[in-house]
Parts: sequence; structure tokens; C-alpha cells
Amino acid sequence: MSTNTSIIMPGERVTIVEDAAKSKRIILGPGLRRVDEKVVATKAGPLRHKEPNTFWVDNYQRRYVPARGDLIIGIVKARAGDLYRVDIGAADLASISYLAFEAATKKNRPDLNPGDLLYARVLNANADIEPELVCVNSNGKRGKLGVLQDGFFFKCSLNLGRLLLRESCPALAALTEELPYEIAVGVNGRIWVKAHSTRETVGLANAIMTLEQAGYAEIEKICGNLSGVMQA
Amino acid sequence: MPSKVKPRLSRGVLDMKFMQRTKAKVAKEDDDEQSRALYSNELNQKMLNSNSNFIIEPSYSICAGLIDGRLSFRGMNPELERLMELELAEKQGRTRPDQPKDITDQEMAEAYYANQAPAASKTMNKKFATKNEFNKRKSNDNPKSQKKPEFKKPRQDDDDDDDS
Amino acid sequence: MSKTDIEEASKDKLREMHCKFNALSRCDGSVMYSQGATVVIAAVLGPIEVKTQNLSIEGSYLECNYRPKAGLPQVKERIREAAIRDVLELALLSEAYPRAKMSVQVQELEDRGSIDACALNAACLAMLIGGLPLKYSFAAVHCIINEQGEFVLDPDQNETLHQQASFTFAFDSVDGNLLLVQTKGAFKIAQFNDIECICRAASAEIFEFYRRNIAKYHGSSAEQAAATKEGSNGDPPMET
Repeated sequence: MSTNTSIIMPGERVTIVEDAAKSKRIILGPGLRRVDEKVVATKAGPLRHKEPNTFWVDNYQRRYVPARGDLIIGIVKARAGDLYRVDIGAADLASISYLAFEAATKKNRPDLNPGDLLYARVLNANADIEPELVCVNSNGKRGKLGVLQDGFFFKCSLNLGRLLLRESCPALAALTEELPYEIAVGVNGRIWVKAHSTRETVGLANAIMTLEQAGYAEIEKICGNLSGVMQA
Repeated sequence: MPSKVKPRLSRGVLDMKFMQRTKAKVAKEDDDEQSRALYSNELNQKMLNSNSNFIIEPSYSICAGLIDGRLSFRGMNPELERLMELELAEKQGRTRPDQPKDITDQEMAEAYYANQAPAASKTMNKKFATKNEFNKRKSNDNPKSQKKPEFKKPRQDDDDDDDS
Repeated sequence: MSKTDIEEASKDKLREMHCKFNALSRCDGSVMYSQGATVVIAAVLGPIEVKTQNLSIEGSYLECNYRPKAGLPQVKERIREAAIRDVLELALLSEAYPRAKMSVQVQELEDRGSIDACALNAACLAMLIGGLPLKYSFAAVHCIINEQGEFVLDPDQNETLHQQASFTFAFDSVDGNLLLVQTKGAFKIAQFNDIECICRAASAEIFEFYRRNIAKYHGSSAEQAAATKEGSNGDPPMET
């Protein structure tokens, strides 16, 4: 990922993208829209580019907007017939069928209770219908998805979630040097962590929350200090 | 109707008996126009999209190529770490990683022919054996097959097969 | 003499602007914004769940509330709220999230003149930081004609005591179109045109302020990049 970070504002034409579109197909990510043949920003923030042809605006945001394929953390709110209602931080509650779990059958329902945390994939996201989740992959295997037991859960900005999930993010590696731990980061701005003791878990959560204000550039510097935060 | 402003029939006229078909037609036209107006934005967008160079992708995860957010480090969750390893290996080598073997292929083959599939090994051997050897083997086998036939229960029968 | 000089200078300048993003923790985006001594907090939520009665399949429903410093909103505040709502509705790209609600709250903390413009600018900043989809950003500028017939841009409260006329304009960032005009008092059409020009010029400064602060919020490296970009092609928001 290139780190060119020019700030664009809503309504601004993004000529770099328009030029690129002349020669190849372009993927417009969130924060950009097409008006006839012009590309216009709808959100304020740094314009990001990923080779070969993806552009998006990395604006600051706390509210999650579901998108198909996203991996998110949801909180089970209620059971409604064959569905569970799950809060994923979006405008509407998402739904997940009781059959969307590994080895679930009509007889053998998953044991979910309100308040349980789910690490799930968004199967369906559309402005006009409520989002739908699954906890299995296309082979019916659980993989990494499913209920998150114990641990500590907190909310953050969507940007922090994305920051941690970049390939080769230094933060998680820096924390690994401190202690063994387990983490689930949802792109909906929710994080769940678990270490061997409560003390360690809380320290870990605090360390991650200090990254909230970090830009891509500062993160390396802050990572160096993470061990200090952990001790505190 | 060449004029720009469409002449509209009044309700009084449309309510007359002989105007029923026209009335239905007019109502349909109105409906169509409304729905066209309603969807005009979307339709245009999509029709233009089909021949343009832009693809809309609403997911940050896909745009930025984010990794899966479920991670475990230093043996906190071995099951998860194994999945991560598999994924990493797959990404690096684009091939399925070799699973660690307790038994070598050689041992496996030997054990297989020795225990699991004596019948198969015999039939295959028969195919490749010369006539001479074939006869010899047949005579070797004979004493067993000439054992006095007697009734056996099916389960014992299975055991016998293994023995032979 | 020196004091009057300062006053002279301040008559065609905006008062100093400050903002602090995400001063509140439980909303999707908030800003504490001040112009001189006038301070407001604006907060946005959205897209969030909408009541069925307000649900629209064509676009999101915009809710806007303006709260005075103390007490309940009266007629004056309701008028201000309606004006803010009208401008926000123009700027918001509502078709992005149908069947949802966008909620904007503006809380007055201190009114020392130009509260209309200040509330609008705060609402715009809150929408920018809250990640609401916008067609454009906007900036509002307040200007008066004082009793001597001079134009005073972004006046303080004590300057407005003996005003002849008061104007509030809001401009969009793309074409510089007028989004809002509020006038009070007696004035000539030529004066109106002059003041519109002055306000338009001042709006560029506000857009610059928005950009600078968004860049700052996104980290120092981004700020540098933005600064070099601004240096090379002047005034990007107005240019487009």
C-alpha cells in the first residue's frame, strides 16, 4: 500500500483517479462516488491507493456501515424464531440463522444467549435489507468464526480496527513480544482480547486503546512504548 | 401527441362508460412515469456503469486488503494458531503445506499390503505372475481352500477373512 | 490610536477559529468549535435506525436539533434550527443510506455574536468528522452594516448593538453557490452585493480551516502532504 496521503474534502473532484481510469478499470472504495464521468469524494480524509487499481478515502469514522465480506464482532441481542438478532454497530440489527453455525441442524441448535459475542462474516449487506451474518465458511467449517468466550471486549473507531488489520502491522507484533494473547478485531470498530490473566488482558486492552489517535506514521513510534503502557 | 404538454382527459370524461379502456391506459401511463421517475437515478447509474471503467466496492476490508482479525500469538489458542499457520503457508507457497507424518510412505505401503488389503495384493500379484508361479501358488492355496466346508456365522466369517 | 487600528483590521477579518474534534465520546462524530468568543458543540449520529413514520426509501431522514445555552428551545432557536436543517439537507448525500436516519445536534455554549454562522460551521465540521456522506462541505459567514455604514465581518456581540443590517450567507465548497441567505434590517442592493463578495472571500478561509484541521486530525504526515499540495495549487476546495 502506498502511503501518499493527500487530504480530500467532500465534493472535491479526484483527478488522479479519473486519469487512472482512462487506461484501466478502477475500483472505487468507500468515500468516492462517480458522477457521470467525474469521480467525486463524499467524505473528508486522506485518499489512499492500493496497487494496482484501488482508491478509497480513509476517513475517520465510528459508525459501521455493513459491507459484504467484512469480518465483524457482534453482540447477540435476542432470539427471533429461526434467527438471532445481532448488534453489529450499524443502523439496523443484523440477523444470523441458527443454521449458519458449524454442525448445526434443526435438532442441534447452537447455544447462544443474549450478550454473547460473535466473530462473524457479513454475508449480505444492502441499504434496503437488514444485514445477514454467517459463522461458517462455504465448506460449512467454522474456521476462525464463532462465539468468543471470556476475554475483554471494547469499542473503538473503525480506523483503529483497520489500522491493526493491515498486513505487517507493527502493533500486534510488538504486543506479542510482551505476552501470549488472543485477539479478535472486527472492522466494525470492536475489539476483543484475551490473555492468561485478567491483569494482562486489561493491560493489553489499554495498550491497544492508546493507538486510537495514531496515524500510520506515528504507529511505529507508539509501538515502542507499548510495553510501558502494559506495565502501567 | 406532438405538443409538449400532454393534453389530459378530465376525470369526468374518463369516468364515462365508453372510456373505460382509455382510463386504464392513462392510469398505466401515469404509473409507469412515476416508477421511471423513482428509479431514474439508479437506472442511469447502472446503465452507465456497465460500460465504464469503474467498479464500486463498499468494503474497506477488500479495498485495503485487510487480514482476518482473529489472531492468536505464542500458543494462546493452539487451534487458531494452526489455522493461521496453514493460511500463511498457503499464501507463501500457494500450495498446501505438508502435514507432519508419523509414518513414512514406505511403512504405510508395507503395512497396507501386509494387513489391510491382502486380497487386493493377491489379485494384483496374480495379474503379473507367470503361469508357472500362478500354478504353484494355486497349489499352495489349495490346502486352505480344501478345508472342510462348514457353516459359520457371518461375524466369524469376517474374522476368518482376516486370518487367511 | 493603536486600538482603533486593531479594530479597523478586525472589521474585514474573521475572528479566530478553533476546533476540537470528538470532544464527546458516545456519538459518531463531534466537534467543539469557536469563532472568537462564540462557542458551540455539534454532534452527529448516523446512519442509525429510523422510526417508521420518518422512514424514506429514497434517502436518509435528517434530524436536526438546536439547543440554546439554557432552557428549552424557543421560537428564535427553532428558526435557527430550521435554517441549519435546510442547509444540511442540501449538503447531505441522502441517497447513500436509504431507510436510515442522520441526526445532527448543535448545542450552543456561548453566544457572542454570529451564532448562526458558527452553528452552521460547527455542524459541517461534525458531519465531516462523523463520516457522513456529503455532496460538498459548506461555510457560513456573518456580516453586518454598523451605524456608520461600515461593513463588519464576523462581528462580536457588542459590535452588533447598533447595526443597520445583518447578513448571514452560506456557500458550498464546490461551486461556491449560495445555500443560505438571511438578512435583517435596511440596506441597498449594492451593499448586499458587496457583502456577498466579502463573505464569499471569507468562506475560502473557513474551507481552508476545515481542511487544515481534518489533515491535522489524520496525523502530521498527512498535514505535510496537504500543505505541499495547497502550496502548489492555491486553493483546492474553491478551484474544483
